[in-house]
Amino acid sequence: VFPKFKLTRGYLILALLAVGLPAAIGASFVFQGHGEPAMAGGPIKMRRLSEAQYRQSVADIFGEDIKVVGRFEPEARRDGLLAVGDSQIGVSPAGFEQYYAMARDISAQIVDPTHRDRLLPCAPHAVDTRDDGCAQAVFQKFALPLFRRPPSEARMKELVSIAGRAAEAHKDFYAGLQFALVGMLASPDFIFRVDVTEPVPGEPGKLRLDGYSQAMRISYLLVNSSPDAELLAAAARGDLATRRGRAKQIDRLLASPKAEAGIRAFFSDFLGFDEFEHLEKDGAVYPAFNQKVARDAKEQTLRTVVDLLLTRHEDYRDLFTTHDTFMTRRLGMIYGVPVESRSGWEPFHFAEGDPRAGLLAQISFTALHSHPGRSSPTIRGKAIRELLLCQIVPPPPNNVNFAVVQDTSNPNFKTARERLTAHRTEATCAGCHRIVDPPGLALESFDGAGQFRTEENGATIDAGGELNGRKFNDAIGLGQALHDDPASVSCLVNSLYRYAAGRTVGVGGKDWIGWLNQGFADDGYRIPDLMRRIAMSEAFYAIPAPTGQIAAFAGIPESTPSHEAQK
Amino acid sequence: VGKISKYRVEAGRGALAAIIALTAAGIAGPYCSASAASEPAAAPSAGINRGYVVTYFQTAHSFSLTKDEEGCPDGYTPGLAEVTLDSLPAGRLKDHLAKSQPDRIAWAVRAANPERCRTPWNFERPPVREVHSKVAFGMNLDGVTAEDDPGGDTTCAHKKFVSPAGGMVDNQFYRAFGCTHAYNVNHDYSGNLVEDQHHGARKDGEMTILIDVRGAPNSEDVEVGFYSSEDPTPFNNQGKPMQKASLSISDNPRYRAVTHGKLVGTVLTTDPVDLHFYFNWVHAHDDSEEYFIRAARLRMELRPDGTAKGSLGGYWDVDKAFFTIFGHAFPYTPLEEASFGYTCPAAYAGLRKYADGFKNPKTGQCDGISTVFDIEATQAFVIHPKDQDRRAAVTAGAPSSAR
Repeated sequence: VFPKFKLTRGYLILALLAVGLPAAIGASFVFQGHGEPAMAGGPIKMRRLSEAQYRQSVADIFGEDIKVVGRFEPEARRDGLLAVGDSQIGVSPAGFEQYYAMARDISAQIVDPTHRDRLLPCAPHAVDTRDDGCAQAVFQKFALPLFRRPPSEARMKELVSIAGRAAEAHKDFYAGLQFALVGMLASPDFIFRVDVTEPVPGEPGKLRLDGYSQAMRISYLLVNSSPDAELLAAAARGDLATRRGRAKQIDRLLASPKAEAGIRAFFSDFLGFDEFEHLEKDGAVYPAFNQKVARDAKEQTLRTVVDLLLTRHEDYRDLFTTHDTFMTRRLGMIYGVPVESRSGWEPFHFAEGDPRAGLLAQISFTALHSHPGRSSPTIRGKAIRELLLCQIVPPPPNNVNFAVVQDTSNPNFKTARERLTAHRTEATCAGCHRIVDPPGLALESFDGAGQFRTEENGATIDAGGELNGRKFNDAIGLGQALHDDPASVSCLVNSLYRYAAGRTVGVGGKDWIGWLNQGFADDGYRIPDLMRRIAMSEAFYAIPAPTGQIAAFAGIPESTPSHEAQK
Repeated sequence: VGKISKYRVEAGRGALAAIIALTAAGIAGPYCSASAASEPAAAPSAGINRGYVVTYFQTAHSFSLTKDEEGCPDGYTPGLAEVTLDSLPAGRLKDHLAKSQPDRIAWAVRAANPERCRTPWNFERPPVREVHSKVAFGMNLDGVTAEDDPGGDTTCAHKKFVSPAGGMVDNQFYRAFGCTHAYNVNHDYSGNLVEDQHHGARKDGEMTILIDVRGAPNSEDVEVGFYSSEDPTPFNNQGKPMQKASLSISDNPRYRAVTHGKLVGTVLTTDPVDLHFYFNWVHAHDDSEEYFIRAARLRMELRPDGTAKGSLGGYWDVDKAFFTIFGHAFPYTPLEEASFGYTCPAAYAGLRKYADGFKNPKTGQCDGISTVFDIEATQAFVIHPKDQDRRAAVTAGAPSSAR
């Protein structure tokens, strides 16, 4: 059914273009004409804002000087990404208390004397009582960016009423405002990104995401924050229903400085940087490593990513081989390199012949994927397999004996390779270790803090290994193997889609993900282009055909042509 | 006899000569990139290029070489509390204070005039009790090999010590203060003023000294730079020095000096050079509080593990030494005088009395006192500012791969 359907629509577009009716091109028509295979839509979602998204949204709406102080409920990693987990988790009662406390604190800052003149659009006639007109103006200013869609008239009335009653009770206009603002900030409409559908004009029985929901998807993918005023205005005008209107907004955001936040957010999630929250090193073993080093290590990689992939717009695969990065003095002590700047960052180039290049030789990888007091080829190999190649490594059996691996002082097994070789003699362990150890052992030239070494316990380290049939002698070779491995590219593509959509690519999405992979290759493996491709795709906004209660709610008969088509 | 070796400081003419010399030797070229850093001590073969940060720098301890009763047969120089007690008339107060050290210190602090540490020469000077032992660590700074050094045009007469390694050495600072509570680490007073406060200050980031060593491949001739740094000396949270830190040299040329040296095997020695080391002491009120060591020379072993250890000897400027060690805490100095066990007038008088170098032709007095410091260091990247022509030209461009 599908190919025929697609073909028909493609011809229809050509016909429309031919007769000069571009304005008539609707969203539901155009996408199939751009070579994009169809993919079944994902469920309508409520996705909880990540901590970074919450913070960035508050900063964008109220200003950078409004402090967000509080503990966020932990996020959950699902299918390899927190972004997928965010669409599967809710808020616990204890978590809501935290959101409420943060909302109170933020609201207090908004109305305090140091911020109110800048943030509020009006001053009350009298500060000791209600002023519904001014309150209404305040909520009109903030409700749209906070809820990412215009509030209903009833909601506005309710907010004004709450603020008025609280102002009278406290004899303080600003206390009243604060009261209502707390409600807005603690509302699910702010804490969650809520999808809303609307009927497709001219196609009875069909639903689509409304413009504001589309704006949210675009904005959180590209800039990791709430839609800005221009994007919301485009949504209000219905611009996002057209390919041209959508492209204008996507290109604008990708060209803006805010795009850096989008790239950073994705790679933080993709590389599992939430684990930095729990990173500890034994100070007796690695005295130069501390929390500030850890913070710099994470930032170093994100700066490398932004510089290479966004600023220089280069090939994603070069991330595994690049000699360029950024350095602080704290990091310089671990890398053993001179850093000129007394404070802050400076560009750094690892010379040809240096044992370090690429993402895998950075502290954010070598130290993050190690034990507190020693390196771990197994943990590093597992991270390469799972994070960068999207492969699944099963957990070790419950009864496994780690004694040989953990005893680094055993004179018979001086290096990790020797210890793991002994460990692999146990049949229950051999299977997995054969998969994870070879790439992990290539990073043994870096200790548990990421410091370069050539020996362990006086024995020379052999950093040779193999990955998916590609052999290498060291970390540089491993980086090149990942650079050349199609699996690392397809993993990135798959992960970025999952990150964007908050769900995995389903069984029916094989063609679509293949199309995306091909597009990525055609674009020279440029990440911003891949983000654009996803944001421009139909699949990104696709929702399932209405069934059951949803269909009934929307007044749609269950059996519709589109429903049939997507089966 | 008694002539102090020539020394040179970093200066325009000397700098130009050095650049020409190094360029002629064919080693300046690789260092001409814009940024600057010394490699850590485990240097590759492409020339000598090593950087160090000093992790320990204290006047050498000779106390363990001699028994107390031999070194200080006259006893210890009285501290402020004892001097104050002696000045009291016999009676109940004197009896009470003689029994209670805390009360004695409190009374002495209350009674003392803080000015005594700002202008110590204006106050009564009870003499310091000198060290009588013959053996001490030191360096032969003036070349005289007799025990009784008669002095000369630039030096003053003094007695030499015998080095534990043999030979006559100078260390008049030890002669003057080896029997002073504030200096002797073995004495059970409030602790050793120099050791506790100055090494503590270094750990607090108030005094950082950098050294770099550069030279052509396979040459024993090297150039050695001494610098203050405003960056804290890198210690970990267990107080242990850390390696491979990048530390910038001071922007102030006063705190930079370069001299010629020899690196034979692992042992580095240098020609004499005047050294100013910035000391960001909490009570600093002018530039009095800095180390100013004239005609300083270094002897240090550069170890394969990246550490270095040795001695630095020279003539410590008397006024600077006084204000750096004894008078630095003004106006709170009486508390230190009493609790650490010294008096400012005696300390100043002692420095003047035992000074043996840099004779002032006008006064005929010596302005420098021979002193030997124990020094320890660990490898670091010594960063030179880009706009510092000579040192940047000489030390720039350590390859990042070198470690």
